[in-house]
Amino acid sequence: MPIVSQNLWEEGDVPKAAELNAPYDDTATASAAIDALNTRDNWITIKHFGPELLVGGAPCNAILDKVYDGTSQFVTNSTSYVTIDSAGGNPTECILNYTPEQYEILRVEASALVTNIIAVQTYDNTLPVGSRGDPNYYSFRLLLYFNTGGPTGTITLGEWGYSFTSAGGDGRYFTGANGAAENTGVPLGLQTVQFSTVFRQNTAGTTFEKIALQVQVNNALNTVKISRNNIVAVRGKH
Amino acid sequence: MPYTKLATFIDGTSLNADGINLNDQELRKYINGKIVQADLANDAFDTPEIQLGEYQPITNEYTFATGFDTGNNTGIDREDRSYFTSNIKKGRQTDNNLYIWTSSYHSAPELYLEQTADVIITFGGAYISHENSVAPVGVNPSGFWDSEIKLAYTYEDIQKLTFVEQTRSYTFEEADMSDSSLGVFNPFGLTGKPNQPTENPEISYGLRRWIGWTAVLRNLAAGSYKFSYYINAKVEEGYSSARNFKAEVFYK
Repeated sequence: MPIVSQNLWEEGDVPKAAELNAPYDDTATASAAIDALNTRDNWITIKHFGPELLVGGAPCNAILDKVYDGTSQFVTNSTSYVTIDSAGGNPTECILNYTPEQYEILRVEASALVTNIIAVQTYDNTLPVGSRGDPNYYSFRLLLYFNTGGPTGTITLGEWGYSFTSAGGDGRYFTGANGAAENTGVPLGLQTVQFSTVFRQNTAGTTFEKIALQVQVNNALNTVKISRNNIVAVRGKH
Repeated sequence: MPYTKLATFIDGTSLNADGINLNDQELRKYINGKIVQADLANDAFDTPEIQLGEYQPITNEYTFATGFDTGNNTGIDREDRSYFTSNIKKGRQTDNNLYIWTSSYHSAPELYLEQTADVIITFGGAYISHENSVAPVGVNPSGFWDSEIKLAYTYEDIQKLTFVEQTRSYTFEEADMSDSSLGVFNPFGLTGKPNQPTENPEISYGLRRWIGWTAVLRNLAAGSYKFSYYINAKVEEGYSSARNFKAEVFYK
């Protein structure tokens, strides 16, 4: 702990050599390894940044990402979440591979272009009132993979829902039966999706492995297609 | 290099004024400009030691030690619109390979990067395609759509646009629920004017869409950049409204 000590004398005291030497010796020791005890808050500017100075040994606010900017489409009618893989063999997974400090913040953003859709059934009058429009929806999920030294676990960072058509609710532009698609509002293909979330890691010793961008539909008769997409993750502190 | 004590005091000897002065003068020199990076402990500094941010209201810019954050937001100002229109002849509107990019230059920030940086651009805007009456009445002509928008930027004095493909979006586009091939379903309905009484009013919902994306640009070199979204308009009248455009700079 580099703290400089100073002896206080009173009238008539005979100073000892060690007492006289102490402030200079302590300064010599402290100046070889100046740390946060020797410095005021808010002193580090961009001019001072070097990765070896900071806790963890890397710059603040590190960015990690996964970008697919091509034109191929990922096509699915899965009613359970599947990871988007527009190009095939290259799933939209942002590799993290770091162990955050306790209470460290992870900010995640994602966006994508939904291309053509196939909406066969957007309404189901056999479902309970209030749920009959459920087939009209599909949703995205950001899933965090982590481990604490054992097997990989997952945390849902968030889910975001969208609809195949402009219709919503139980009484708007639906036919009496199960709904011819053209009567359930206009199709909303080729729309962009965009969402973000913040996650705080409350314990130490957890390793973040990756984040996956996933999608599912509510009804297997309907198909969603996704073209370009990305995940951007920001370590709030490093 | 660290401070070095020049004189050492020894018990039983007279206290020498020169020794005290030497040590104090060396200490003064060290404090006043001789502290170097090698004197700082490794793996020792944390968030509290990093400089607090500073807000610049004129440029609407928030500067941090690690970068800066800027942009504009007209999310509540519906009248602050940016109009776009097709600049090509009717016959060429059907050509999906003829691009004429129009900038909405006032909606975007200009950045000056002092050193290599990663940049995150976050964009959102409401896009309304208002009229495209060149479509013959009563038929579904092929290819009067594909109004495509993308983020693009220029660097320094080089006026060549660099497009960011991860932001590719469409202000309106055919979207047939039966997955017909592109260019079959006219998003403007039969009349080309979705507000006509004979058209299904729901069509107008399909022509009003929110477009948003997040783009990450890695390792941009130092220098000035001008960002904007660019649109290859294929409609006779359209506009964007209630948009925001945010840039976050993370110095490397």
